[in-house]
Amino acid sequence: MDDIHFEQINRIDAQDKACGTTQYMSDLSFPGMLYAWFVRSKYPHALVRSIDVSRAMALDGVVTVLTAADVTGFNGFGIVDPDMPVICGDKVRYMGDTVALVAATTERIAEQAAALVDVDYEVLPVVDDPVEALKPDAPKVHDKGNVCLHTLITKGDVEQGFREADVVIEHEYRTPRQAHTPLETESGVAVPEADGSLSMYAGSQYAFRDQLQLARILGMNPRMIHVTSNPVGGGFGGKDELTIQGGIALLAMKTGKPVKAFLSREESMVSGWKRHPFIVRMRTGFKSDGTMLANDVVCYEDKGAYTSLGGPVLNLALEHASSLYRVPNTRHEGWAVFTNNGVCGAFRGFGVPQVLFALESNIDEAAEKLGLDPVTIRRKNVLHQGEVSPIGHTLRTSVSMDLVLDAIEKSNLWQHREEYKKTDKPWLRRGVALALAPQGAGLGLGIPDYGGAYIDLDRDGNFTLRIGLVEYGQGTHTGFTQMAAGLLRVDPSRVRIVAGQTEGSVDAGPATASRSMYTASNAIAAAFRNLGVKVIDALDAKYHTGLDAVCEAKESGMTTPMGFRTYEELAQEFAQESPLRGEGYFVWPTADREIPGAAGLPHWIYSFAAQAALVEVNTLTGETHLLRVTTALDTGHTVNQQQVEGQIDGGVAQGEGFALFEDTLIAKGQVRTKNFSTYIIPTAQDVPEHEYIILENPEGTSALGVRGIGEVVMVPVIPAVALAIHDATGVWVRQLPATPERVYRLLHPMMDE
Amino acid sequence: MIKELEYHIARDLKGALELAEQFGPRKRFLSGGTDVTVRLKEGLVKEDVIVDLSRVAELRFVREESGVVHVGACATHADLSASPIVRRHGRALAMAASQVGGPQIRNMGTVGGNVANASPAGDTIPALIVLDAVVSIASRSGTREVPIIDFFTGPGRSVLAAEELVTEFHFPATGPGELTGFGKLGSRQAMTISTANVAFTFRIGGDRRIVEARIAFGSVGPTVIRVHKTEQLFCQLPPLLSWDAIRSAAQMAWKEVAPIDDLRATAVYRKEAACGLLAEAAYEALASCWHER
Ligand SMILES: Cc1cc2nc3c(=O)[nH]c(=O)nc-3n(C[C@H](O)[C@H](O)[C@H](O)COP(=O)(O)OP(=O)(O)OC[C@H]3O[C@@H](n4cnc5c(N)ncnc54)[C@H](O)[C@@H]3O)c2cc1C
Repeated sequence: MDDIHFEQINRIDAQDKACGTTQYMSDLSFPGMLYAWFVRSKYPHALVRSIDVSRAMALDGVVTVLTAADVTGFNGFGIVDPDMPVICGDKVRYMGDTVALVAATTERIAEQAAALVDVDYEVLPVVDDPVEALKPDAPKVHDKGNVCLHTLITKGDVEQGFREADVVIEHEYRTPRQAHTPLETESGVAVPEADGSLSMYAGSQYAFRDQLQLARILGMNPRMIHVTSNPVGGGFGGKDELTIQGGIALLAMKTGKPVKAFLSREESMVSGWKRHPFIVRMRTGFKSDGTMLANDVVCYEDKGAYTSLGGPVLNLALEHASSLYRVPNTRHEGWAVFTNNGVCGAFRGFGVPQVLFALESNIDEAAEKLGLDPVTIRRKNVLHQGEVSPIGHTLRTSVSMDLVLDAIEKSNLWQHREEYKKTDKPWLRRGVALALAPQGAGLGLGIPDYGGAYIDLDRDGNFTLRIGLVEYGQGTHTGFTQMAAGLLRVDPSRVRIVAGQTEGSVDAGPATASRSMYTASNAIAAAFRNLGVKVIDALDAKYHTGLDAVCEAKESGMTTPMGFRTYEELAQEFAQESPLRGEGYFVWPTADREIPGAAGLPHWIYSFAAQAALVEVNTLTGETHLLRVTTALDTGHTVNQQQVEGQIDGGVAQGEGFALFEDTLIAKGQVRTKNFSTYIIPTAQDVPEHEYIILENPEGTSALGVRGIGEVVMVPVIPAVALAIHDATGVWVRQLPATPERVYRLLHPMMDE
Repeated sequence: MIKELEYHIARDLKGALELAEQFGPRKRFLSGGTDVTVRLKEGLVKEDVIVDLSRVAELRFVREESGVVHVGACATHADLSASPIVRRHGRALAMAASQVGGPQIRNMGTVGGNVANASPAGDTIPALIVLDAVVSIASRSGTREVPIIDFFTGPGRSVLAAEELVTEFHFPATGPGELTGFGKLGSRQAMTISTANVAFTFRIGGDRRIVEARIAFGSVGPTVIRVHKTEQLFCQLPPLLSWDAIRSAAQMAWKEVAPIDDLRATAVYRKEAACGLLAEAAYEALASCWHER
């Protein structure tokens, strides 16, 4: 299938989104619809002694008020461990915890009623520092203690490695609590149906898992719950876990009316998932020629109040703590620690940006000490296919570390960096740095990772592609359409897509972990092959043409045992029967052996990118402007160039936000940055000039050679920015975001004296 | 949740003044609404009547008359940034207005609202101060003029009485030999409240020395402030472009500003950065002026 041609089309959803006609779940309304209000906790950590809803119930227009006792099924949710109550009964653990749910005829009444719910709390001490929280006498967030997960992965003998090292670099790094900030906050409508079933319309990253979690909460057969979660107004990982769905489902089932919730930005910032802040202590040993000998890493992950995906995030971080460099001796240890600092979960990059900021910084510092340039030291250490990773598994699939490194070295920015660094203002300094990243894709070993797709030949000779994976902005549905059209050899306009709903599309796993395009490439290819089989079967049943033929797609049709037939002809041929459906299923390849002590590791398929950044630092104010970024990215096989560039643009902006601006500040459990006047994300004025270098080293396990790129495009830019600040000014940035004041303090350490 | 309000739209100045008198302290003016609506949403507006000034066309103008620039209270930031008059004869104001928020905010937000709001971070305020602007205030019972430096009585507070409104600002047109500029430090390059801002006017003598300096800082005290000692030091700068000399004169501002810690920055950093901001903005202006000659 190497000759497959992907027609370069505009996004299939571009016009509707640009014109505002796209119906997001938050746009929906239904007759008789009620409005939900989540009564949130008043304290970050407290026992709930009692709740009195009588004043709220008495308000005109209030239809119901629910407390924990009203949860009909299991009162908890969570992808890994369902330890987050839908409604807290006895204890609250963060400011976003729900203590009661209101449904009323208007949003205003619902909000007013929420203020009338009387809760008697017994305030507990706030746990707000993950390192302190590990001490034996620290107050406990959960009865089970504050350790959500502890992982230790070792290979070789780090102490021996350090003894042989000529240079050892050791530092502590800190990373921000980044918010996903999708344009569409958590929202949706739950609709009770006449047959006793429930329809859930809420943008999320995995309708089929939502269905199971909702079934558990409601105590209902999952078949009675229909979830539509597509399209989504932005996700970035923040809608992987359930958000408002449990609450509105309970309210809808209780009242028998459709119930809608649409969180304000402020409520979203307080209650929503965030990126886990990490403290990374990293000690790395090098030989004088730059060869890496040992890496000893301890990560403290601020989990926030509930588990969600905190364990897998920690483990993916530990898997990448020595990147894909040839490090013979490693010790990667991590603690995911419960605190009352909001809740953290999945976020694009999934732990990798946190550790690579530390690692790439240690590498550049070693290079500087050893008089090596940043490319040379990395080239010396990058791994190739067939070698053993720093956590001990053999890399069997394609590895492009050297490919992206070579490309970034040859880039315009890197080659001409001395010219780019010139400035005539006495107070400005410019710097250029680079970094590279692998990003393990897919769900990892031991977690069923599969994808299904159907290709229906419709009666009119066009096609319907059914696949679970949602579109939340990445452009994947355009890519799926191109892949199906390319295989079928039809114009992409002849493929319609039905996705992200438990009725009418097929489970293809979550739209996370850089897995959508890769999964779809295999599921769609399998469905395409199966369609050919179905055609043979159908012709044989009707004309006894035999079963041992293979259909081949040719321009707008297929070769069959009866000669070439256009798709219209085939559709007409079988118009009386049910439409021809190609069913494709695919299971991700995985390693055959788990990394001991580390659930989910290793990952098997990787994304690769290298990025170089040009920054300008104002030494008078500490302001840092990111002027230019070059990305060298391996797509495996580019399906849609425009969408790849779009992912780079967005990824760079999100990486820039992590590096320079974004942090959800929480003091004593209270969020201080509740909206966009204080939670700072880059604007159009802040984003850099881009240069794209798209490389294609096909991933052999994809039928179409593609690999995911959605996450990796935001990763190397983060260390690259921090290291470019060093190149500009000589100071090492160890805590992100590098806000003006932080950079200024590094430049002027004596300021307070 | 925004509370329920009574909403009156003024059609002209006379109507606005009548409404102001009628509702007195119960009313809040709304011009572009870019401050008021945010406060309404946060539940920080105690008044329950809104008097909308946005359609009072006679308050939206920029003109120059016999060496004096007049700017109507309802002129938007976009108006000011685009106005050839303001760009030529009050450049600091054009620069400040062009750095307010983003395009949407500049299209709606007005200079009258920026000043009447009396935030110590308001970007046009230091510019108006170094241009020696005077505020024209009107009520049903007459008009009065207040030099802008005397207009503010504290953060969010001014000399305006309940029945009064701001009609315009006027200042002497800057001429050749006068340099004026503005600089701003924020958390990013657009849509950002100033962590510190600065505006200045320098009158340059024949010998290229600064003979008169007015420098005002915002966001480093309870109101926007002038820094007189620093101004004097700028008047002693040597008649050649010296970064070191400018930098050290600007450093005097450290002693004259009195910022506080907040979410955006600590006080000590604000002091340092404010000095840097002045040095940078002054150097840029002096360099361009001396290159021209
Ligand atoms: C996203 C965003 C970004 C912003 N960025 C900046 C920035 O970079 N720099 C900056 O300085 N400000 C900024 N602001 C604040 C605001 O936009 C400005 O202060 C603007 O100039 C206010 O003008 P307005 O016409 O919208 O005022 P309004 O909101 O209409 O009014 C503000 C106050 O002034 C009073 N008022 C208005 N007109 C008169 C009058 N003629 N007489 C008497 N009282 C009057 C009102 O009663 C009210 O109390 C920003 C605001 C937002 C929402």
